[in-house]
Amino acid sequence: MDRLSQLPEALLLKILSLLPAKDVVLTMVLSKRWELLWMLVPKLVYDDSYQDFEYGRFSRFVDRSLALHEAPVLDALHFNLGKTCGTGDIRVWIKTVDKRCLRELVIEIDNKSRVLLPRSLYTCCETLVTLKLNNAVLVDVTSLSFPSLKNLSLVSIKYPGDELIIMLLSSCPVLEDLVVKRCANDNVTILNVRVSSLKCFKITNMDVDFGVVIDAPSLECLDIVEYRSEFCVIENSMTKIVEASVCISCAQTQQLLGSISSVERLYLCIPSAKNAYPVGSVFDCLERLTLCTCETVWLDLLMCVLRDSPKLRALKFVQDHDLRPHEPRPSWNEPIAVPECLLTSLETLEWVKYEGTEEEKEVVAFILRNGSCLKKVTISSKSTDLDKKLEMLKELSLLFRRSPTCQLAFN
Amino acid sequence: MSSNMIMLKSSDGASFEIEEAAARKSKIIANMIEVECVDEDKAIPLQNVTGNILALVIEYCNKHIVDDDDDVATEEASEEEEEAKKKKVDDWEAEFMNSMSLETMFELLLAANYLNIKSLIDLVCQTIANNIKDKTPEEVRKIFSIENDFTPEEEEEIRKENAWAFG
Repeated sequence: MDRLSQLPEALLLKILSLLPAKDVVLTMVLSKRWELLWMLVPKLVYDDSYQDFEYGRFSRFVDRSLALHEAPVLDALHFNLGKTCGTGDIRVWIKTVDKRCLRELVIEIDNKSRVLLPRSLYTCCETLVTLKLNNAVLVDVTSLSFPSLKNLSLVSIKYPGDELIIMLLSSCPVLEDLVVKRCANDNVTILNVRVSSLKCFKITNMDVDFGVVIDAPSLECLDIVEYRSEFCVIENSMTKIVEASVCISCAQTQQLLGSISSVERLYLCIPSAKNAYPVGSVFDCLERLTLCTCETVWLDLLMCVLRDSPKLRALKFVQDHDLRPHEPRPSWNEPIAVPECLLTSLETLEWVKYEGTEEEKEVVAFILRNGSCLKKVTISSKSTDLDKKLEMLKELSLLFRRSPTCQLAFN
Repeated sequence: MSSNMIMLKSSDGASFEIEEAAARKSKIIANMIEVECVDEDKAIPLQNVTGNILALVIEYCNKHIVDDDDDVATEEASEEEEEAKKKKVDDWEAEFMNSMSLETMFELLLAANYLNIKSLIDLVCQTIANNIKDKTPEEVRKIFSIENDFTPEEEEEIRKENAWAFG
């Protein structure tokens, strides 16, 4: 029995919206029930590498199927373009869906030479909620408007200059989520992110050496990845920050860390503790700290944050980046005072890629010796050598534990 | 997590006990609980779902309520851990969907639709879509026993008119 064709139309359209447009269109010939159904599918995904047909046929396929498509509201339109796609094609396709209340547009170009996006992109998309662009070139314009845009992702984009980004962001009055991944020679000297509605901001700078200015007082989630820039300026303190991840290899992070003191969950990987750490600020709300141990100064940084985080409950060490063999590893200095959080709040310690070096042993010993509320300590060894692991386990299990209920897990 | 148990009764009279937290995956049941239509001693009758399908729905809900709890416990999980966990769920879902016939799959989809369990609707729709993806119309007809009610001439005409899609 044909159960598929008997499904309610809403379910059939849902199933079709999970397929590449090529497969969607072919269903028109299945039976009379299906003949017109494909024209109502609310999501169309075009991928020119799918089933490998040559570009001329692909672009004709997109032209025709978009022109015949009839859904009054098009939820999502995705283009995955890797071949010789030109600005003209994209312009026509965007124009075709102009009056269709498009909510999500994704253009990903998987091609060595970037494609210039048409001007019409900026003006015809008043209903867009999500816009994701990858590996494209944006042109200069004088007016643009994205009144409904909430999610914007700009990955490996080339810009006409700093001004366009400023204009673009200021034309998004309700923007909440912004992702920017820079690329070399993208023509941006300073990335200005001044968006009062912004809640999440992720920037990946890769190897680009330029600055960023952030003025986003509503920000709740900040993620700075692989940032090598000379400067990073925060114009207003971000008092609503809940979660932050800061992985920066420039030295000046004082101001940045000082302006996110309301953070509850924090990931840190920064190269210096002296200039990087904001003396006098207190992380009053910090509950979870993850610290990357790849930088030489991680130990100093740890002691600073422990001292200033009276409510810390969970501490985790990771090694997300390769160690640089020529750099010295830090040596342990017993702190003068035991941080408050060890005595009153710290419940879990987790160590990923534990190597059993002197400073690591001292840190674990110090935390076990003073952690009054510790419940669980989980150590995962980096080494797979069984003898070495046994030795580590022996050492760890002999350490004095202040908290009688503390469990030690080792693997 | 609430450990309240509630009873569900299938259209063919089978009764199932399920944790309230798992049952809340269904928006319909969650609404019933909200407006206190649920009598503690009485089973909720589900007119459109047979016992064997309801058992599958409950298996799915129980599995995913456990996963949701895990999320809370390891909020700070690293990307690798997240990935490992996601893979575990994906593997379970693949196995779950693999274990049933197409016929059962459609029953399950209709039940998920009736009970309004979004993630289960998504899962079954994706599985059905995977059976259509990258197939010719002839193959799709065969897999789903779709009767071709076009005359050969009609079909030929459609293919000709839409040579841009079929060519």
